Amino acid sequence: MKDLLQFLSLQDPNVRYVVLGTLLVSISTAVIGNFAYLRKRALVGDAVAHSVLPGICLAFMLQGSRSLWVLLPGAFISGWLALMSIELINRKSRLKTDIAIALVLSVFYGLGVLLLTFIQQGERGSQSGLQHFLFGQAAAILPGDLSLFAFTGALLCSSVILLYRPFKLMSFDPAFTQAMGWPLRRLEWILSTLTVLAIVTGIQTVGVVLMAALLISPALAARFWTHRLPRMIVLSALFASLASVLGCYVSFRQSHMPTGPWIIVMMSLLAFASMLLAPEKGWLSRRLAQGQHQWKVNAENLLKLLYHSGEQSGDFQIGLTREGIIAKRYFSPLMLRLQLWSLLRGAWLSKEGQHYRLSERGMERGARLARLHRLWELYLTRYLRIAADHVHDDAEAMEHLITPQIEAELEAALDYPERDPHNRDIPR
Amino acid sequence: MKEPVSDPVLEVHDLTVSYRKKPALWDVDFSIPAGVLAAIVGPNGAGKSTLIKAIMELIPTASGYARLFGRSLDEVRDKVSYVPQRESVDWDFPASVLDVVLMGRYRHRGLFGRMRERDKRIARECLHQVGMEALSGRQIAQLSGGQQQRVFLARALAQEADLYLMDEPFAGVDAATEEAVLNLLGQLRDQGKTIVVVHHDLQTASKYFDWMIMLNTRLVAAGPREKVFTTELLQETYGGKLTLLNTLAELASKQEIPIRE
Repeated sequence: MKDLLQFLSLQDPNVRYVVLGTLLVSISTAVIGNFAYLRKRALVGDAVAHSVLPGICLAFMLQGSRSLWVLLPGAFISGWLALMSIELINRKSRLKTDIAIALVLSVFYGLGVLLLTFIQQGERGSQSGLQHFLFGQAAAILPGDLSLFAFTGALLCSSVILLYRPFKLMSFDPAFTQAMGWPLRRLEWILSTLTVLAIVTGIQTVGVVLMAALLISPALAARFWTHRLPRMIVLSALFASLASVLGCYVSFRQSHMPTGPWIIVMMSLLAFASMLLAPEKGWLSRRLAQGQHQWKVNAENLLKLLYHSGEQSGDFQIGLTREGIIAKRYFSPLMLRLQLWSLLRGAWLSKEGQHYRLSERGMERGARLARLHRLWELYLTRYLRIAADHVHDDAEAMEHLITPQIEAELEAALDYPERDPHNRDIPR
Repeated sequence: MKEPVSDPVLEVHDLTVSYRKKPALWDVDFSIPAGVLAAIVGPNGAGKSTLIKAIMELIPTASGYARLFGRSLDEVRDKVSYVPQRESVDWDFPASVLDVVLMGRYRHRGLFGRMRERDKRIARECLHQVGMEALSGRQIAQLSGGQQQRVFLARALAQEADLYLMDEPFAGVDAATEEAVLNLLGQLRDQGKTIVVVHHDLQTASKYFDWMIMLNTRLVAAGPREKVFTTELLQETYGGKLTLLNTLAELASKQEIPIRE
């Protein structure tokens, strides 16, 4: 607890630099990453991130300095060249996009590793610290780097605000953008350049290998929570900030833990949690909705079964025992108890001794299901020319889905029929 | 068969387009007058979409040109509306129906200008015309195919253009949507607008459209429906490619020789 307070107070200047630096980097990368995500350029981002390595090495070899102000321009140039190479291969050759990405990534990254090995075997190699650009070293963020991050962050965010409308349109519908007379190529060029800039700024923190995750996962996580682009952008920035602070905290508590990879781990956890838990689009709520539907289907099947049994015997007052129900249609005993209990509570059924019978509203609903089932069977035989003995299974599923509006249309299409294909009455 | 047109809204002159050196359109040349509802018909791979894209300068042309209202496209963009194929975009994009229709107003407000109340009113009005008013706040990911097509149409209406070029607006839509859209296009035509539609269904084409462009890599016919909708011309359009033209096209493609110098 004391640790946490000390961490959050940001009194330690090192902690302050690292937290502020990673925050600036991850927020600006996340914001621009939304468009990479929506334009399905995640892999291009990964290729560009790997491709900045030779630029860093060359800049170091030429200038002999490891200041970010020297290395990042080199990184930017080689990342940008990689991006343009992908575009060029796409446009000018018959190679497919995935091949172009793989090709550029491996060539540039391979060259980078080669140069890195060469530097490390040289005189000052071991002190160069360039290997930290592979997985990042957030602890090495200096006050001077902060101003660089703040500058690029401001540039990225203000560009996105200023060019929000064209970026949105070209991400959704590039052909329409171009047809409207907006300079699609130039806009794409600006967006790509901004993306390279974001990637380059982030490599000191998380490294070239993990950078793509920082670009894409905040947008991916945010997409699960909202259907509005502005909200998605803000949310992605929030997720990225949260992951940054958590990552910094882990490495603050355990000094041998690397900050960058922990930020990525936290970000991935957030993305994963969003996938699972987000309302509506998340896995859990989708499963829940399916479960609810299954529950409703079971309940309706029970009501329909009691209705059928009454129809057959001609007396709806007898009802059925649990054994009688299971003999007609299998339900697991536990599920049957639960369903019957809930139907009794909802006053769809009443119970006398061991016999369950339909209440008035239960009767109505049972009749409606039998009716939908038979209407649909009739529709299938008449309009799809399916034989009468082949339509039952289909109707068994559809009867639970048909809305009153579809019901009305069905009736009209069938000219208000009275008997189904098996010559049973269609209840009113 | 080609109907001469004086004062055309759309004039396509000797247009040749090739995809990866393979000719998709070969010397296509025709004109369309103002105030008609025109259908571009032809078999799969005839170059119907290519023709519209080439007119909108979305793809490079090997030779020839298109003139709209007697001018180049750049001079008259405000008067032209393009409706891409519905499948060309990812509908799982975070936007509402109204958002998409408002895109039709972007050109009026420029890259940076704010949307005004008037733009929203027009967008809602256009949604009303396609019968989607009630769904203006709906997520586009939740729309059916027919509804997506209506949204695209509403966006085109919001552009308030005089010439509409539509790429397969009836692909994968329900019968109700098709009829509603056809009626709407008829109304636009009656207001003096010109509509050019890539269309598959010959039956509705012959019923609702008054001008036809029959295409099969080359132009087979262009003119008023009653003149060109004949068995003979239809057979020529759908009866397969011209063998020699096709052989030469394949040859050019294999050896990567451009078909224009």
